[in-house]
Amino acid sequence: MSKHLLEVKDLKTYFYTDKGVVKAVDGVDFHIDAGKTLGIVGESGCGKSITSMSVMRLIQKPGKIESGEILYQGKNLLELSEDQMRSIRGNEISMIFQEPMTSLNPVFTIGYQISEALMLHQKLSKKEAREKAIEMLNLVQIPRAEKIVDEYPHQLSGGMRQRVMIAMALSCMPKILIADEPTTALDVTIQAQILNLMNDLKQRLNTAIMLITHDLGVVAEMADYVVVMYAGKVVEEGPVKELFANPKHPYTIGLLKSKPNLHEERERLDSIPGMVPNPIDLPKGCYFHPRCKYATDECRQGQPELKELNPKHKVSCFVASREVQK
Amino acid sequence: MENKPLLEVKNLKKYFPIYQGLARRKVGDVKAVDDVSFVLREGETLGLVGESGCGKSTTGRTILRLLNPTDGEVYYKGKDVFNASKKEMLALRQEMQIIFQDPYSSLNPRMSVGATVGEALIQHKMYKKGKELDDRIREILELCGLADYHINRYPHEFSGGQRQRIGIARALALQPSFVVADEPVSALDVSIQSQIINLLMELQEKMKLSYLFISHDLSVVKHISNRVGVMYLGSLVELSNKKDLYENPKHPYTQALLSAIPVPDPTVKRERILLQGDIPSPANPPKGCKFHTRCPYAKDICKQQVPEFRKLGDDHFVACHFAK
Amino acid sequence: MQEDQKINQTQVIGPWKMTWIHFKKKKTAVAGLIIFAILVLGSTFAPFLTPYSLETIDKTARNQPPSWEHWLGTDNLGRDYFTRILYGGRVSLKVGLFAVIISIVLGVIIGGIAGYYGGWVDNVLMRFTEIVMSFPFLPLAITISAVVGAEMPGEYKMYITMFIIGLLSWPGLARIIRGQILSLREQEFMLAATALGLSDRRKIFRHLIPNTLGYVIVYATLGMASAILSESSLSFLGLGVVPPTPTWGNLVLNARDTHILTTRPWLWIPPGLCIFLAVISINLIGDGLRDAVDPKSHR
Repeated sequence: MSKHLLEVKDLKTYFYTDKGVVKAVDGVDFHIDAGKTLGIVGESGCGKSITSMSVMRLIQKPGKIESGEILYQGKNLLELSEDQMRSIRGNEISMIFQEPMTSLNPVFTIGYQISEALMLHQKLSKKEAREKAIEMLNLVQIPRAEKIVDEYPHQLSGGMRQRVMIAMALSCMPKILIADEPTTALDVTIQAQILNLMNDLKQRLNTAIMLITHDLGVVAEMADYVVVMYAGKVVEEGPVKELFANPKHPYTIGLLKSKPNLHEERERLDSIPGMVPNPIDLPKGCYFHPRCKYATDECRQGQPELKELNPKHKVSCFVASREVQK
Repeated sequence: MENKPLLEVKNLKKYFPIYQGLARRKVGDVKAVDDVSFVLREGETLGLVGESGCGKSTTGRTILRLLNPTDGEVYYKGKDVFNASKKEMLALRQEMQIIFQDPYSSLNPRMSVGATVGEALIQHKMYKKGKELDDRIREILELCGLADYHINRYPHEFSGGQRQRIGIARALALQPSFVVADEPVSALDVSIQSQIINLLMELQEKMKLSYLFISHDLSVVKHISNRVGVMYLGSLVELSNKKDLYENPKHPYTQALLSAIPVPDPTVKRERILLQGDIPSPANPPKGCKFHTRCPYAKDICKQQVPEFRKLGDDHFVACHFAK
Repeated sequence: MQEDQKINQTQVIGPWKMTWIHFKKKKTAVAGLIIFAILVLGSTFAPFLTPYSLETIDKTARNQPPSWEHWLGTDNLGRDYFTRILYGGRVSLKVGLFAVIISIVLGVIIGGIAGYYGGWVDNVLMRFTEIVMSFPFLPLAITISAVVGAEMPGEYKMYITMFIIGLLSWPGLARIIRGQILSLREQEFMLAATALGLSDRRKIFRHLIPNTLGYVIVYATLGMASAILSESSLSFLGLGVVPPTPTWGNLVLNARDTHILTTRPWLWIPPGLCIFLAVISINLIGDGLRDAVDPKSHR
């Protein structure tokens, strides 16, 4: 059995549109260990959401998982039948989304929605499932759980709905929780509550978390290990302290420098010039080179690969790799 | 920097009536802006922060009379904005402009960039259609980091960051002195945000602008503002210069807000003040101090009496019974 | 600024061109366009496509089946039927077009005013619209036609028909325009226009109307199909355009007794087919336009 809980190897997910092929995820590797949090960071269009959807095998036409392996406890999820996959979704691997309003069904009560998964996967009776639902609502610190269980999503605030989503996702005690931008749509004080809750639950239930976000602050706070994505590829990865202290990829460095920091005073923000490339029309060579101030001829011609710089810290950059060799 | 205020906002109120039933009786008000007062000096940037429902956007729009105020007064360079005649208002509009948050809905999809930017110049009779106008449009586009061949293009061909630049160009074409920036970077990617913030600061220097910078992002506000005001449920709870607000926040809400921001540094220890409960609805705000339902220090007086927005030291205002 | 260079190299694609590009992609829409073009061209160039004129009567060749001289045979008065069908197309299409123009003008004005000013103006106009809408179309059209048309000479019947159809079908468009304007008013670019101090006139003509034109065109296109059908029904009932002016509707009238229905199918199948093709092709075009104009349906 592999030593990692989840291991993704060379995942490629492409979208076949009438404008061309969009290589949303183009050869991505990472792993998640039990009880740890993996942070996947990147801006819009980098492929982080598609990655998580691929893990859950929720990719629909015109998208297709081209190649790669997704090993969950040693089994390749891409080889399972749809029925087998369904018994894993919501049960062993769960997901929560960014927009709590559209992820909850407005015509069913909270209790019903939480019970659904319980009755399906854990084969509980209606009564048992309802009790367990109340238990879960208490676990996510929703006050007056016995009343809320019979209420509808529109009666709750954004923060409460997100807690309900977490309750639903954790009801079957999954081994992995995929959280796709879970706090982006929430106010900052509510975000603090939710992140605190997630950390607390992670410790209590020993759930591994795959946290997808564009917010470097959230990553710094929640993740144990970080993967930085750009234009469908992993450009840098490493343990969180190492990555923030010692970023090597120009994109990562740029991202960290361009966010105004509460604790620093700076005259001008460093910004990364240019824009994220059009996924249908990716540049030749390293995808980041048009915006990179260190770009050399080598960068314009070939694709860099992920190389290990220190133990566990990998970078996909010609310039960075050469520096370490010196 | 002159000391005479460029903009004076006094007891501004904006309520939205709530109607119910077939006969559409008024059952109450959403008190979006509830007695807000502040002053903006020439050349400075006043940041206005708060979470959703606090009324910061509504404040900005009401000041520009894009919404009809319920009560209060606004003076721009001494002129009464709310009682200005149509003609006076037109002149005022040339000096007071706004940049919006959503780069997608803030541009007319059927108008070219050049037309969008130049329209106001024609309306205000500053230029007539022709070469001079085109030259001026090109000048502004370049100032905002766009190329002159963009003049004939349409919004759908541009990215979010570029569209935001077009919106900025449109607002600055008239050479205003005061600009309300309503969450101008919230809808943009992080790496683009910094480009636009740098642009705004550059333009402020070049064109001698004063900003009312509205945002929910405290780090961005800290970077660009001179003074910062914190709003909660329609009221200003704290107003101070940047340094004092961030280093020495006096209002419990400000303290909680600052501690809630995730810091991009994993080694920093977080001492979080976690607020209980959710943000109440502005249609039904709590009695007395609106923050008392979530305040860790709430006492009886807080539930009954609305605290005064009082001065605590040099230029530092707080609305709290117990702050010192 | 690599991205910007790319923008400079590609052509300027205005929003109208984008609509055309999306339209072309839908095969059914293009097919509809081709069919409709054939019908229009056929009717327009009628004099060149047939040696006969409308009035040519050949008493010796009455009720003839299709032959080389008379491609679709002759009618009971000895007139060439193919000619009548071609000219009939002119009337049907013309009535359809002008009826739609009338309904557009009324719909845009009423819906526009209601949407822009809101309040009691909106209320009054919309209640009025609903009243007009709630009358069943055909019975009302028949009644008006019977009453007004009783004294009218034949040539004017065509114009009466246009007006009747136009005056009864504007409510749908008015509501759509009003809805569009209501939602556009909330868009930030309208707020920006106010902030820039733009006049009402500018806001309506340069900002609101261009953004509603897409829907107007779609609705108008579909409305034309409906108008053609209405005209056909009215003419079939003898209350629209009356002979000797041919329209597809009153040509179908020729099949009024079962004897002709069964023995001379060339009299009623061709005009019926033309109506059918006109309506279908217009609907396909309208569908294609609707998807092309609606930005949400683009991937």
